[in-house]
Amino acid sequence: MSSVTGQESSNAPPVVEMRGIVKRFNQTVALNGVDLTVKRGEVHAIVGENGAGKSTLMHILAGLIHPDRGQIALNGQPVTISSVESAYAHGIAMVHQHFMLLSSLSVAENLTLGKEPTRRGLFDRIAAAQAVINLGQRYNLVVNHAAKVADLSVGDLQRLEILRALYRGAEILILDEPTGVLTPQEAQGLFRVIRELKRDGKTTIFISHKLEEVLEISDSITVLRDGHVTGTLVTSQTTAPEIARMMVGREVFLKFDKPQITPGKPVLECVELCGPGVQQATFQVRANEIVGIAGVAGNGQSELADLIAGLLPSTAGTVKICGQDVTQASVSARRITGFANVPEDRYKHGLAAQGSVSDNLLMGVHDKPPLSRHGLLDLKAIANRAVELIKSFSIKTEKPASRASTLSGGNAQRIVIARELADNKPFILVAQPTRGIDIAASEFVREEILKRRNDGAGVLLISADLSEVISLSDRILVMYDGRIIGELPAAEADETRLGLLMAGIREETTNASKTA
Amino acid sequence: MPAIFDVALLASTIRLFTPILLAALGGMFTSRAGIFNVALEGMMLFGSFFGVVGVFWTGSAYIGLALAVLSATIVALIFGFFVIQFKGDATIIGLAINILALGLTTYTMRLIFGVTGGYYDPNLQGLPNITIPIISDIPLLGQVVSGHSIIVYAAFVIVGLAYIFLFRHPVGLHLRAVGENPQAAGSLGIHVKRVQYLSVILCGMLCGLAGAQLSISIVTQFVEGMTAGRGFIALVAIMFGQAHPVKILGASLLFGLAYAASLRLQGGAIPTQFVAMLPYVATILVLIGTRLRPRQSSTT
Amino acid sequence: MLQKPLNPGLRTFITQTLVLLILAAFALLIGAIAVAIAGKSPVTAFQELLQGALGTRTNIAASITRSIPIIINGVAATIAFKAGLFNLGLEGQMVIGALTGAVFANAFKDLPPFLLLPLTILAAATAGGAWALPPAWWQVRFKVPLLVTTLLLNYIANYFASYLVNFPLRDLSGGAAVPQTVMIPEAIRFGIILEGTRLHAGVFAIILLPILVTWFFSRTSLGYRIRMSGLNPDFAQYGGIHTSRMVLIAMFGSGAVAGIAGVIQVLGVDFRYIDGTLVTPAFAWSGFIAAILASSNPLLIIGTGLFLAALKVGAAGMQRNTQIPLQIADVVQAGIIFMVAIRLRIGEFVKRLLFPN
Repeated sequence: MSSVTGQESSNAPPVVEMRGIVKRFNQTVALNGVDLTVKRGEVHAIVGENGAGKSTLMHILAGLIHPDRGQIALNGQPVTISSVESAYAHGIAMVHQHFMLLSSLSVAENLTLGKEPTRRGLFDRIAAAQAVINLGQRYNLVVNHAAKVADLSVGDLQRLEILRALYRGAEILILDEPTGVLTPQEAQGLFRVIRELKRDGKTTIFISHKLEEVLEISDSITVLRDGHVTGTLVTSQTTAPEIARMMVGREVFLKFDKPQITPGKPVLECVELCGPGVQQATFQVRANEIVGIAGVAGNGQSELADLIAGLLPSTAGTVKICGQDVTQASVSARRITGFANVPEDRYKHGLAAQGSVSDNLLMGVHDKPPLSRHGLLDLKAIANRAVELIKSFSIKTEKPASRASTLSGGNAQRIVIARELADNKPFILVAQPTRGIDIAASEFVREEILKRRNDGAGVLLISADLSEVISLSDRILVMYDGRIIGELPAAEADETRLGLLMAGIREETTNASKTA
Repeated sequence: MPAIFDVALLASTIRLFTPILLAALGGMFTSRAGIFNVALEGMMLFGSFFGVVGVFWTGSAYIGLALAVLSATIVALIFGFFVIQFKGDATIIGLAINILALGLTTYTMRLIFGVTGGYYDPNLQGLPNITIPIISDIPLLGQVVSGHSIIVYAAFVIVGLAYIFLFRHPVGLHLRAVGENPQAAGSLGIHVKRVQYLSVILCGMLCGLAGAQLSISIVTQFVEGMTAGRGFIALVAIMFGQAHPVKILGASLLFGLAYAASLRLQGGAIPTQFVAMLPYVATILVLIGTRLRPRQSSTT
Repeated sequence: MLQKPLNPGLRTFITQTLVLLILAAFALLIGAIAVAIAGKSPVTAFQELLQGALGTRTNIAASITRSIPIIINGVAATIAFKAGLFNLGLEGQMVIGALTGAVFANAFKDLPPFLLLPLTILAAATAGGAWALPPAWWQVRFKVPLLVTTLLLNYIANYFASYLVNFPLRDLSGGAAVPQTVMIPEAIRFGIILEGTRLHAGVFAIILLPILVTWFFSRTSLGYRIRMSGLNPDFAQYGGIHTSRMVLIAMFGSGAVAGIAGVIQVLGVDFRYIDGTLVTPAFAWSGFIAAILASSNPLLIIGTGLFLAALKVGAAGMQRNTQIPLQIADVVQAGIIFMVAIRLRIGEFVKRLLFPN
């Protein structure tokens, strides 16, 4: 299955060599004998789907966790990386997926945190500011040293993280899913930085599950699946389908069987809807239609969802669900009108992790006959419904009374999907439905959403996964800075057109900026 | 109505606000390090009790002071051990510390002094009042500022030191980082647990001082549960002062004034029970007052 | 998940039993150390404690009588726990409830007993619940932490009640030194149900209330809504539950039950409100601890409450016979909470020790 690289090795030993790495977390084996070889000065991609062990492997290299077994050698010398500090001492620094920045501190403080310049025992602010400026000039990564991190853009945050790695003297940079929060254009900017670092002789390890960018930026690739290495590849000699096969173990289908249906009556109508983070959103979702919302995270999508759900108060405009004005209505009134909601953060809004599976399946219908009459719950009816949903949505749980926290992410999401799709509500709001869950569960969730659309529901799909939006939606709206700045039929949408809109560049100016 | 505001009232405010201030500064460190600490009350109570025990055993008020600080620090370490090492629920552990403090001090008081309720011996010499030369001769100001125990003056110095430590010292930076985002701090090689232990130790020491100010400074005596909610009032001072040393100083002064007024009104026309309520009522009102403004930003 | 040598249910049972034994051993150890510091024999102390708590019919009855306010307060604490709230104000709510009950019973003493008794209890419950509402409201409206305000309100409630029984409501007839109210009508006092002891009819409440509260949380929609608000308020809101309302309801319920605990002491033990009698024995705190020990399972509180009551009564007996201060019970209680707070960690430790891999 795996095609080992046939490239001749140079005389210098590899900059990173990990052998037989094993890591267990309680019962689950995260890494089971993983080998990794990275050559000096290359861009090495680690790919695999969620839960394959990519981050765990890199956390071991960065000194955040310790392997149960296995050896690490740097430049041919065996080493023990016992802590983050010792990783830094070996010239290894990691830029995390969730930025490890402190928003109440300044850029200069963040840059130097953990290795502060001092003068007479106290923090030397001037030296810290100078460090930001010097490093920024050297690598062409300019960030205002005096700004509070809370006020920075996502791109700036990432630049600061990379600067910090360089401040710590990193020769080996680990980037964990660095493009997940960027527009395609911002990602190009990041790639320029990576090439710059490469010219400077630095080694970059790049974690990703997006194959296009892996093919674009990396020199070689290690593929992980379920804690095993399933392939070691030279980028120039491989193709996306080959990598995908190694990642998943079978062919991946990102095409859905989507019958053409003429949309019916509107089930959601927003007119000039305004609220915190959202400005004058006007759009409709009709029956038998999936409307996708694309956009870089933080451009008002979450707030729009909360406004529609009634979790945030609107300041102007109207929301109608199934023709009824629900602008002022409570969450429960909206639900009764015919609204289901798959929230973006399933552990924050979608579940009570310490509650039972059965409790979690009851939410929203806890006052609905026959499950509940005159304020009394019918435990038998509730149990029957739970068993039925567990079966039909293939939720893997020991019993309905098990705590939701004992389930995997994919199964937890199945609980949410089961609960929200069970009652054939005419309008379904779905946010980030496949975030952080495995491919099998993702496919299941997408198919269920499509099924409901085919059965007559209208769906508003908010997702940061562009390919998900493109493949599922009938129409796509793009949000930028709280506004809906463009609409495309799914058939005409591609990553470039959407990407420009996501960066706030409207259609008219597209041609001019394309060359940039 | 007699004149409430006079020099003596201000002097007694200074005395009475010191325990609140010190406990609040202690709690500020744990709060900045991300630990919700409801055990201030219990730590103070240990300080109060062992301060008296130290004086009783050695006759030296300063050894009493040292024992107060030591005992409160040990208790703080127990709190830290269960919260930081075992990741127990800080609220429950904190309440357990308070219950332990009340039980153990009363238990030990009976063993050592053979009494219940309270222990008072007029022969025990507490911390001396320090007369500041020159300033003590200035009318009014001298009466307010001079003639307090060393703890009172230390408290003011500690406010300054705490400020410098938190905002100018690298370890203070680490402390704030750990409180805001322990994961991020850890990923930068900051020893999260070590920093949290440091905050707990600082908290214990300051609570020990606070307890000593109650028991071996104003009068030398120990009364069962004599902290009487001061740890919780200190908690409010932290919230009111947004965990900032100088603002906490202001908040504590306010509560000290309530205590002083309560003491002053004792025996007046108003029934003692209502007078005794004053600090608690003031605290609750302040607490609500501080939250009135943010409310408007989150419209309903 | 498949290759387990022992079935998971049995493993959990063994682990939990061992954890419980470790907890008990630790509690004993703390007690033994405290006794040893006092220069006494831990064995004798333990024997005296057992004797004092359960040695005779009278002692057993005393332990059960003592458990009544503890268990009821434990149930009260649990109601708040279920909504995710730490109600540290049980003491004040109990005091206000008890005083209200005593005043109500005397004010309407001409009513027939079968009406007066339930109305007295209702009045006490309403007053206790009402005293718990402001902190709930402040938390909901101003985000003022209820944990702090409920605690501070105890001092206010105690001083307020103390003022009332010292002045306007004081029984001046007997010339008693203790500030107290007039005695309540004889007709509504609880009878003794065990000859020669002080065990009164209020004991039925320690069975009834836990069952009622268990039923409420498992079988009613309101109970479900309160539970979900406690487990994850964001989730509850998303599901259409008014979490603020749940905080108010749960706190009212919690305060009401604490009020009942207070009035039962009035009806069954003191027959009047006496300044300080509900505060000194720390019924509310023991109840709070009983609830923590029982992991907020109302039925288990019957057991933990009885245990804590026996500990306190036994310690009092021990003090009489050995001069070891009875506050040792509080020390042991605190030690148990420490262990309970980290029982999950102990569980993990035991599991790793017994079933490596």
